[in-house]
Amino acid sequence: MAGVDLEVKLGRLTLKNPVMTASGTFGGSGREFAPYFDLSVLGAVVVKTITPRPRKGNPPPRTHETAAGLLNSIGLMNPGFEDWCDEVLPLLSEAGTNVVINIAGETHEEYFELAARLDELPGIHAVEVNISCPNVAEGGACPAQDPKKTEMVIRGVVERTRLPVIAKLSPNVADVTVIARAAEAAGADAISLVNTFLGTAVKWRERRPVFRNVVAGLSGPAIKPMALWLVRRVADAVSVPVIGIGGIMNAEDVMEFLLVGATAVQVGTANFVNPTAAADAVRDLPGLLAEVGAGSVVDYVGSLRIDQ
Amino acid sequence: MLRNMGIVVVNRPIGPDAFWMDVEVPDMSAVALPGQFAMVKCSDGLDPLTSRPLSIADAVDGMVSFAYAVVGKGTGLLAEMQPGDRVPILGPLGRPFDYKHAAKRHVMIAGGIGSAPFPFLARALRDEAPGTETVMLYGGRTRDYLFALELFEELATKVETATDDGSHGHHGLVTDLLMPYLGDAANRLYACGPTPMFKSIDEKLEGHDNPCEISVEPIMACGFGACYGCVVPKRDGDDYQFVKSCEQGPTFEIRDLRVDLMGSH
Repeated sequence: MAGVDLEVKLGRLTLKNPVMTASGTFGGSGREFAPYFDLSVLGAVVVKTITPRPRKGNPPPRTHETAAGLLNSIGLMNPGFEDWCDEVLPLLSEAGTNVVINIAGETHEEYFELAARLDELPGIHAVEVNISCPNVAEGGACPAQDPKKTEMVIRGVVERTRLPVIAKLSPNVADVTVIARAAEAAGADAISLVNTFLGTAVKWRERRPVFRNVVAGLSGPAIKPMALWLVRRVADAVSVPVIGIGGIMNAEDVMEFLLVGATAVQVGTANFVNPTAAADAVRDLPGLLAEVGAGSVVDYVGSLRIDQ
Repeated sequence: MLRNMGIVVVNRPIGPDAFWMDVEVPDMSAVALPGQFAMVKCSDGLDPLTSRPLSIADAVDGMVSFAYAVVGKGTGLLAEMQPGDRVPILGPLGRPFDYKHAAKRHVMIAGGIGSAPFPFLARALRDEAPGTETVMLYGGRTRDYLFALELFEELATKVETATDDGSHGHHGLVTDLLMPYLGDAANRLYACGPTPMFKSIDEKLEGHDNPCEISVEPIMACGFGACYGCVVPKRDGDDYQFVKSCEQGPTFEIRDLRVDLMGSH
């Protein structure tokens, strides 16, 4: 297993292994996980989404469990860019691996405002553009539901930073390949998907929704089959690398996403269940690759065999 | 913060849909403090997916104890566990009660299963501040909902009860019993129970200086700061900010929170 090469390239960003953490599931800086494992074993840490100005986030309840899944309506709670630079950024250098900043805005201009500030930040290796959060806009709308808006936002970010750019897509669209191609055309180094699926939960006795916003985002093992399918479709549709996200609990799930064409993956909700889920996946991955005779992650990516 | 595989030693009913569980988990038992909590995984499978946050009801002799109400699928599975079963536990987590202060009286106020953190606190006060009066004000729907009442009668120097139906103690709310203890600012208060109880305490404290820590019990997905789900509104001048109760709490000085904005799930 020592011979298994785990390194992958996401455009201009090189990861020592394909396991990243998903934004919003790894605390604010990742320091929340430092008591449980050495973050440097990860391919990359993706931080919680930053917006230009502070956001209180949504009123509780913010999470609700469903069968093998978790609905959330956090609402991009964050201290805003300025305070984030003072409070969170200094902690990130302790990660000892690639750090991916994740940004969002309520308008295109807010995305661009943040993008223009990225090159001055020390210790940041790439930017993931969250154009797909369902919990901030009316009815769960976001740029990733429209190819033109996707292209405008991603192009605007690419033009304003030297960092590698990852576009994080929403699954809540009719044809995700259209959006993926728009992100690729705009110059994205890589595409990550899926963000959460829109969902809701209700209390029938009270005739009330669980969440104040009614709508929330579903994550966890419940969405894995849908995420695998969308990752496969996008991997077939674009030539930039794809980062698979959606219900990954362990290294076997990582293998499944690699098989359908993801070059890297992000572990999300599993972090809540088991603080070492991402590290465990890194530990177990070489053995699984060796089991199928793959000498490297790259050899195995997209190697799904389909009988004609 | 430790991840441990605990072994269930005792899991017995203490009232309607409520249980007391002793888990053998020595590393955690040795370091846990009154007011802290643990995340308890109720199933090996994916449903329920996340762990359940439970107040640590006691920690002694290698055991960690929980007093919990069955409110859903997770706690339902927990109630079915048998002695010898293994249960993954993460903890101890959160900020303990700030009880190591000289006080004339320590007054604990509990509503129903909100009494869960108080055996640990009452025992710590008895052992660490001998001679200090510890009062338990305990409210429940009926006598049956005054869980582990005998334990509190043993640990506290005085127990006063209130029930909705008058079946034990005062016929009314537990907060009706509070006023006599607010006159003397040297009395320290600790409360855990439903949000309306916190709101009542918050109102009664107006004009009084008694320190009062409450232990909040929001829905939590992770318990260690990762998910940002378990927030409560913390006072910030005239404004408020949501803060993670798993990290800054679950115990808070009641005046630091905007109790008036807290929901009542």
